[in-house]
Amino acid sequence: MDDNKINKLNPELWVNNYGDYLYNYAISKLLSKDLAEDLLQETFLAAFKSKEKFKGKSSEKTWLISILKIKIADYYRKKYKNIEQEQNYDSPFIEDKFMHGRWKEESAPNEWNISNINLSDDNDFLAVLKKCISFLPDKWKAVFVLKHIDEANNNEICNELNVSESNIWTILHRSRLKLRQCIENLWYKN
Amino acid sequence: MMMMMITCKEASFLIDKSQYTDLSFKEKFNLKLHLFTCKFCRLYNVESKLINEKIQKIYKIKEYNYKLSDEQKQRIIEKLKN
Repeated sequence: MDDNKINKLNPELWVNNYGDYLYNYAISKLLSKDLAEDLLQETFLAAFKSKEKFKGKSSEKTWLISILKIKIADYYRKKYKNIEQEQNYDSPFIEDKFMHGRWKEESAPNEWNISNINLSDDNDFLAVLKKCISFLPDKWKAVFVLKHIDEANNNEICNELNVSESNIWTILHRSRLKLRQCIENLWYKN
Repeated sequence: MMMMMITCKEASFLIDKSQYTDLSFKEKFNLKLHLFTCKFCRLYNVESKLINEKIQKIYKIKEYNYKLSDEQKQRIIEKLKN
């Protein structure tokens, strides 16, 4: 038995062996095939350049995924940093003194026919949800997606994007308010 | 502990937060009390949970079954050669 099995890299086989898996992984986090292909290419290139650093302790596949994850986080981090201004936020709540914090009439939740959603083809609903995620302001999208990639904890996102934890909760909450409204508009009013 | 009526704004924040982490005893209590009296936030609670469930699905790789085309593979391999 060889306990210190050292995994070797075979770059010439990467694309064929792991291409599809990594491609799907990237699509699930980026929700775009073009973007996924770009980052996949960057991942293979980065891996190829740093192949000397591969210690052989993990499998080739695990190593490649870890590089892809870094590329995806980089992508969102850049996106987050490139936007200077927080987009105008249209609160769904009344902000005046007397009705403070209540739902505005036009943005109060309507009742959804949930059993209808569960019965219907899930893909229709997921397509609407994806569309609504794509409508989120870029800054929010970066936080939102990073939060849902492998259920990252807030500390990781704080470090990656350099935002405070309370800011993360606020952004996640505002994103979800917006998603709910967007789904209601696309799914129910059409 | 102080019993407190929270606003819809605060309640919906707690509803969303609870999808990611456990609420404190006080937060839970205040939210329950609010939900008891507020129809809109009860709806928000149901819909937020449903959205959460679907979000999980979107980000699961299991849900995806795309294949790289030969052309795409070739493009990547060419890049690696340079």
